[in-house]
Amino acid sequence: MKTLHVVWKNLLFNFSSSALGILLSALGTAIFCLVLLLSSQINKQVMMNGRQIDLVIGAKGSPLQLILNSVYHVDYPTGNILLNDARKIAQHPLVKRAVPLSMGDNYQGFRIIGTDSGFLELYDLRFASGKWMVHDFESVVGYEVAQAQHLNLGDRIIGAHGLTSSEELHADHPYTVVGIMERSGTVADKLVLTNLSSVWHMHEHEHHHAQGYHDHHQEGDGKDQNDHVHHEPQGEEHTVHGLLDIGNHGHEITSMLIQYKNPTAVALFPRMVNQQTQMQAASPAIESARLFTIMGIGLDALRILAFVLMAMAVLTVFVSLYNAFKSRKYELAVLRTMGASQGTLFRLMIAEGLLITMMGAVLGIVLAHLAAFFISASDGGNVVEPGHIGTSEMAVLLAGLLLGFVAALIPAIKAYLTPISQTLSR
Amino acid sequence: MLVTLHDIEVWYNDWTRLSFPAFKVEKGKHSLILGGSGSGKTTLLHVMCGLLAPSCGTVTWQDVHVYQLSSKQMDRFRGQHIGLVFQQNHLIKSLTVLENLQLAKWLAGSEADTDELMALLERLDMADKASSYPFELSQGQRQRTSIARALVNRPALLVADEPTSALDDRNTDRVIHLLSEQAAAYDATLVIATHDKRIKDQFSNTYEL
Repeated sequence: MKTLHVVWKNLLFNFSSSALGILLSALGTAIFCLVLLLSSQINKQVMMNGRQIDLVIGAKGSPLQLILNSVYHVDYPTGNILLNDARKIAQHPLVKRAVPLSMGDNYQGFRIIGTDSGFLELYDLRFASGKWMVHDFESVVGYEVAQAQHLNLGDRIIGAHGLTSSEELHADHPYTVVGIMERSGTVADKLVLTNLSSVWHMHEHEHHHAQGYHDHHQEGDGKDQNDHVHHEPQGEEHTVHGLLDIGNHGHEITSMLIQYKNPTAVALFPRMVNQQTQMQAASPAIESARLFTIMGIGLDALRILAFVLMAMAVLTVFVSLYNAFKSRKYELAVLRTMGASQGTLFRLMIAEGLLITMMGAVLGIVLAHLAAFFISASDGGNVVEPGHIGTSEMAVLLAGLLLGFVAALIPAIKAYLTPISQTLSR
Repeated sequence: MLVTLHDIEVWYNDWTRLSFPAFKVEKGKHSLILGGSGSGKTTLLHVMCGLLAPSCGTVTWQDVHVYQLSSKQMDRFRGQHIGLVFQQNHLIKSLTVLENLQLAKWLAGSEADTDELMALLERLDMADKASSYPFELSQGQRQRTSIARALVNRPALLVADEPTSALDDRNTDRVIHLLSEQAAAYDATLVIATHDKRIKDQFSNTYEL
């Protein structure tokens, strides 16, 4: 016969009021926990994806959109830029590596990105099997794409026009899978990579259908680029060269990812691009920080909601314990006649408060992780790891215990001070 | 002499004072405290059992001055030496009959032996209700449970406050018989506080307020 047993039986006996306390503390902790989970893991993701990219060059428009589109691959492009203009930027002595991106199609919701092999180094990608593409209409797929669509080397995949829809299929131009990447934990896991000329071909194809205009004059250039990629770029010069060698006029790309040679470029380079060209330069670091201050308001609101719910939980536990104390006053006095000390009654009350909020906190953490699981299931599993249990969960649990203690304190003191004789004779 | 109360006075406030003549309970001699309502029976009972400190006077259990004990010692003392039966048979609602007895054992600081507790319930004809909750019991069963609970720690003194006030003649006799019988079986001295004159004849040591 232990304190916990007595408390537990009492909790079951007064299930409705205990359940309300448990539920409210569970909701409070769940939201709190989810906010912590999301903000820490989104933060981690942002760090991972933007780590190597110093600057993004793209069409004028919202810099945040450009970053979202070209670094995180979530938003739509701001427009296209001319390859020639991009090439001039890439030639600048402060640029260590420039990786072009061209997008517009998707495969089952995964974006198809035309790029060169510099992309691999930028994201530190390794092949699980296969190799970088050599010919047009070959592709290298990210880990998650391969997992989700059960792709193997040699499989043919059919892209669709647009970044999300799967209505306008390019059934006449399938891509052959020649490489599958290892899991990197970055956004690259969810991309289908191909070379620039494949994307251009696809676009001309579009033109052909739409306007009866066929432009074939860049077919050789695709090969040029392929050759380079085949050798695997060794140094910065080589990479930059890869882009320069494509050498055709009038071609467009969506954006270009830039890595600086040295940190001094941070101050000069973006301004130069923004002032001297028709393009814009956006810094992932600055835009991510801006994004976070915008999102931070939402997270703050959620956090406040969580605090309100927690406060409600404390109040509920307090009220239910206090009412229980009033209706059980006689019972408590009887306990005293049976030899219970004041301390025993105090402990019984505190233990009840702790048990209620702790069960709530545990339930809340479970709920938060379940919610995280559903969130990650719906976005493909890259933003949130639902299985992650960190020190913050322990902190939430401790906070729950503390709240239970606070809620139970006054009823416990009341129980402690209950005069036996007066209560019994009432 | 088991308990001696000497010059007891209790002041509820400046206007209400109760004073009691000396009162003694001899070991084995069942006693009755008789008085109308408001005469201070319950107060005297509480003073005797260490539940209410008197404003002046002394309470001695054999050689121990009860109100000189520390609060913790007093709780322990109460749990081990006194079994209380209340008018309203307050059992702990969330615990079964057996658990109520175990609780009494635990609070008095001793280990509960289930066989022993079951034997006690058997004596009171409550063994088949061991795992019932108080709300499932009849009034009589609840009273028997609370008698069992009072006897769990083999107290020296079994104290009952108005055990028969709500009962008819037949049941009054039965309850008084039960209490005396169980007290004798457990070697406890019975003290009953009541206004019920029906039971006066059954006690030799009557203390009228």
